[in-house]
Amino acid sequence: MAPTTSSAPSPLKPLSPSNQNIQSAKSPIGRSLPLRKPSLKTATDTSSKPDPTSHQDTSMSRPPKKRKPPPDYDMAELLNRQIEAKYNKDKYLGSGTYADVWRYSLVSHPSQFFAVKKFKFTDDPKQREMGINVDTLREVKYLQELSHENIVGMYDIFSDAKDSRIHMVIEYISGGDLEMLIKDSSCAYGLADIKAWMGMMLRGLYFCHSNFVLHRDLKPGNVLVGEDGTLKLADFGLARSFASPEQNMTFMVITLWYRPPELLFGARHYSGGVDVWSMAMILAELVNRRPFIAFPVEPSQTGEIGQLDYMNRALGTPLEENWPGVTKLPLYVEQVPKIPLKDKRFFEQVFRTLDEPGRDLLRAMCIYDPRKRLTARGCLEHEWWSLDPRPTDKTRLPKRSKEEGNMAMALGRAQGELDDKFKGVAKKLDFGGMK
Amino acid sequence: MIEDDTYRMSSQYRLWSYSPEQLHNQRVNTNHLASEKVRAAVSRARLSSVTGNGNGEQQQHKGSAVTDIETLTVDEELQIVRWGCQKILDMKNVFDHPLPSHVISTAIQYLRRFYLTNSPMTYHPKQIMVTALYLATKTEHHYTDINQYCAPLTNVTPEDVRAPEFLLMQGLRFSLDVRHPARSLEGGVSEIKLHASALSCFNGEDRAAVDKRITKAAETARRLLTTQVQMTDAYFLYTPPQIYLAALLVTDKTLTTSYIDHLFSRLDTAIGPIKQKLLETINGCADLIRAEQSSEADGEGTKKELARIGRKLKKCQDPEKTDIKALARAKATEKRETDAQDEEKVRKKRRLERERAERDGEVFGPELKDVGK
Repeated sequence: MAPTTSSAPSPLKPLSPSNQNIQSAKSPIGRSLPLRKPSLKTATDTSSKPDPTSHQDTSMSRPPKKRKPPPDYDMAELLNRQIEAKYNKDKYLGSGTYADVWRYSLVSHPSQFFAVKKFKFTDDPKQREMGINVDTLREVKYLQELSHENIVGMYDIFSDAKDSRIHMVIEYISGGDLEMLIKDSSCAYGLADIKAWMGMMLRGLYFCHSNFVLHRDLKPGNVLVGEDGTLKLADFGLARSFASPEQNMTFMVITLWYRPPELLFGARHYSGGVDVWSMAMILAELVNRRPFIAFPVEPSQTGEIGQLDYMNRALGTPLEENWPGVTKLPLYVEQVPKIPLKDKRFFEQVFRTLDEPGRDLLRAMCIYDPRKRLTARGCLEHEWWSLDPRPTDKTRLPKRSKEEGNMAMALGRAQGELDDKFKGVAKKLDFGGMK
Repeated sequence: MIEDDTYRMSSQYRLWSYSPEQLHNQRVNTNHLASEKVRAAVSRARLSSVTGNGNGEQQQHKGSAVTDIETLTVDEELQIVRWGCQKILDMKNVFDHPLPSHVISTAIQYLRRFYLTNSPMTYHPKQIMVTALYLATKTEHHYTDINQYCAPLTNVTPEDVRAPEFLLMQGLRFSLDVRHPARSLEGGVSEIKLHASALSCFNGEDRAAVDKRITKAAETARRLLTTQVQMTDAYFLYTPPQIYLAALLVTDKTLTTSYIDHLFSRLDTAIGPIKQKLLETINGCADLIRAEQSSEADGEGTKKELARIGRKLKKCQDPEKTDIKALARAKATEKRETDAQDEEKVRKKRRLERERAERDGEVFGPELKDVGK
């Protein structure tokens, strides 16, 4: 089959979304940009090449005057099928409450793997009635805009011919997530490694913020570890763009242990500071290898009050003096006992393995008043990065030994879900179907 | 990285920015393709009704049938899409709580983007527009319950809204983010206020008068950006800052030019050509907005023209695509039916692949002991 040229409108290669601009004058610009890795290039190119073995293609290229016309797929549906045909289902990786995750390979490059997140249909008829799930839409929306080394890349979206579930084709990342790495007692790491990891995460976060996107669910479990040691922020189901000043935002975001005080107090207006707080909690957790402020929440409760109490004891009491306006926040509750804000000495005792500049950075990242808290950019400009030890080269970062299937857990989890809430239950995956 | 680089990474730039020629060609292509499909579909429809009668003589009629349908022109399609955009704008206030204008603007841009690769002859905007607005409420964090959403709309059921949702997403190439110039305007206005004392147009005027003028210009520009600009191709052809500056230019020319003059006066004179280019671009966009304003003034003419196109569209609407709900349902059934077949196919394919792999492994022929036999 000769490749169709751009001049003749072919039913196979019409104006399908993914190839439409390929021939246009725009594509040279697109190519010069660091938008997607070369693997995407292959992916996009395959989409424009009709697969001669695919039966839809042959039926479509025939004149439509046949007695019994072939199913007249929409352009959209045709494209959908072409995208689907690019991939081979490889194996099941696991599932969470929110999505099933499979490993797919490219038909044209069978050794090239992708993770495919199949969003589950909810059983709740009320939810089903709403059409495409809002979290799914958000994740699609933001991943489409964010292309960065430290953010998980999205390549394609299609709906399965079988069950019309939305399939999101994303980077396959086999090293598990940061939470597993922290919990893996056989994996030893040091200050230089932490510095390297924090650097990667903060660069990813700064990129989000400079694109006006708040992640709103940062936690070790949402940071994936690539085979080459690269960390990637994942799970953008709770993300949103910065709201304009008059617009309210929900405070019911970010997993409890990583949620900043302003959200616990019900703030409707906030900014990148919420993600920086989460990053501070991740840094603290990396150092001590356990969550820093972690109220053991019961499944029956939401836990904000308990978390605030733990925070009060861990960092001191938020008051008007140290955070002007805090008492005006909608859900402000006075904290007792009154504890003075923790000083340098406290941080030195609690985070012994962190060096002094590192502790200074950590403190600046978890200042109560979000206006005084460091921004993502401020974090990256901290002197810690220019001091010894240098961050470990990412190829030499410590790794976990076993990791297959972990991506499923990180990706399939429901947003804001706290795994430890269901200790041992949520993480139990059936890998029986695996090879 | 400067702001421009950030913008160039956005899907709005990567997928939805065109030169005027590209944009026109795109629409011509879509129109051409849709027209052919409509002719084919109509002839199929006629053929099936003919064969139903078992009348052979009428078969000949079929040949002419394909050519006698007058399809919409690109311009007429644009008019119909514009009508849909206007309808979305009108929907703003039918809900208990009026929708914020960025939700409305996003929905309108969804509709415009969708009709770059789809023709109103295939899918009428009246079917797509309610879905576009609903999708925008979801993606712009202004989520409304689908039943509440449908309540004030006449003759719209939740199923009507849901059925084209995925189709729309595909038409949008799954890029749901729209960058609005109205957002850029707010930043621009703060900056103008900041530099107000240095602007040549305010020659010693007192602060109150200056602020008043800026605020007034901003208000008018804001309204322009959320209404008339939405009816144009501005988003496809210009960047958000260019559009907001053009809207300001249309609103208060001296203010805008003295602001731009002031900005450039602080920079190296060597970038003079850039200033010239910027002014040309902004003026081009301003012309687009002015043209829209004057066409809007001719309300009666537009109405008549729309009615004519509407009648014409009735005759050339793709008969196989009019019922999106039925299509969505059929697709769902088809998918269930092919389920079993697909399983079988996949198994077979795996087997063949395995066999091929085994064969490929034997490039030097079968093992020697087999040859010996």
